Amino acid sequence: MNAIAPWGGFGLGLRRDHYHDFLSGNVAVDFVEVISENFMVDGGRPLRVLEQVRAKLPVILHGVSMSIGSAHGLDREHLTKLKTLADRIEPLWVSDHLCWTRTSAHNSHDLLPLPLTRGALGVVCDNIDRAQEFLGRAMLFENPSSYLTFPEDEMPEWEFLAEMSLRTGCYLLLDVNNIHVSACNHGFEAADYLAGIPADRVRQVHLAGHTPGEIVIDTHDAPVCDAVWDLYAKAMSMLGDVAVMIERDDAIPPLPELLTELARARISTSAALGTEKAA
Amino acid sequence: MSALALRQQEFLACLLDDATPLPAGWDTRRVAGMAVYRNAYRTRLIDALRETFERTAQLVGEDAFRRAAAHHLITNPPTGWTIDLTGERFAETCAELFAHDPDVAEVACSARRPSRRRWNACLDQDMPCSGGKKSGLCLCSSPNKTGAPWRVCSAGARSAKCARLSRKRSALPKLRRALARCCWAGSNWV
Repeated sequence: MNAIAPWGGFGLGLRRDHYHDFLSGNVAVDFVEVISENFMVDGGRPLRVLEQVRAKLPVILHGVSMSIGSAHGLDREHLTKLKTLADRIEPLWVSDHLCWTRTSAHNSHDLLPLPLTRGALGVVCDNIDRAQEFLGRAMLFENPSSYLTFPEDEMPEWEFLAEMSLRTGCYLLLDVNNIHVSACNHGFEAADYLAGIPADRVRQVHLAGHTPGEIVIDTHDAPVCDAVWDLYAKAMSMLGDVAVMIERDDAIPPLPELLTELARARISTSAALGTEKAA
Repeated sequence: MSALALRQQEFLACLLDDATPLPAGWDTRRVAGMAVYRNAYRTRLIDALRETFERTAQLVGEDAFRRAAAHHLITNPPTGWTIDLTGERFAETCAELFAHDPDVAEVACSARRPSRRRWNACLDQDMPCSGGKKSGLCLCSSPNKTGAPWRVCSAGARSAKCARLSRKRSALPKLRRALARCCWAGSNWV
């Protein structure tokens, strides 16, 4: 499987609210990320917009429905449509989540948590091997936010991710907000999580907002909070060149607001690296 | 069946139905976590149905629509990878639940495929006007004067009105049990 070279930059999700901004001018981002499934269609305006934006900027395809942890295997129709889209768009890379979304009978359309067991790791690795083989490219997988753990868990999530990457050659998309959310919900130290991640396998970082509470919920509907910015600075001091992105999927503000937040990521990265490289 | 497959089948059964007992030994933290997943599942899918069946929701009112959507998700839980298919057979669900008001199913039928998001896509491909004379809804592909790529004509659309759910005896408990048990091998898995 072809390696994915480190690539540095700062980007945003391409959302319908901002189509006009991206089409009509030069938005100060290095790339955009889109939800793959929204464009896995035969034609229409969204796909045309994506192709127009792709002519200007690199694109990352980020999926939510591969269900890489499904004990029932992968959905060939989904994979086929994803491959068609990837071949058409020529993205920087294709990513999805470490989770499962369905059984062979039903689909939850949600990112559900996996038991962190040796057995589940084997299933995930087999599915990743098949997906990467089918797509003809190495993929990235993102650490999910989660709201429960299983009594049968045998290892922490960071160990699961490290072993998964080692065995399959896949790369990691490190969602710093998800680390914070899961750390709050499950009581582990976020610093332990970062220390257990193989930094040389990380190619992308996600930042997002969440909803605090007795259970912290990953809602993507608010600015990045200070605790996540602090964790981001720690993460960036460990990582090399990575693509950094701010996710906002609800209560989407005007584009300048997101660009201001992205500027903070650039400054924080510069400070973490002790250079002006990212500025 | 592997331990993971059993766990996932059990988890999904709990997700689909509050009445399914949670696994033995789960503490209150895990119970609270499951409640988050249950809420997210229902909210996401009911929102998707509302987006696709916007006119139906306007016709019957929010409360009745939510109850009908929740019923539909139990009797027709999603199977496909795309959330757009969640609305399949929703018109039939409406025909059953709003048996006293055939207009509801008729409006739902006019919207069920393609979904609202697919409408955006299809209409940009210069699909011919879909008509919709019976329901009073008409999708037109030609750009309107404001430059928007598509528009919805709703000359015949009615304002929201109260609609009572049919009080016929519900088969939901039986369906719930069947859903919790069923797991069949698909032919399209790799």
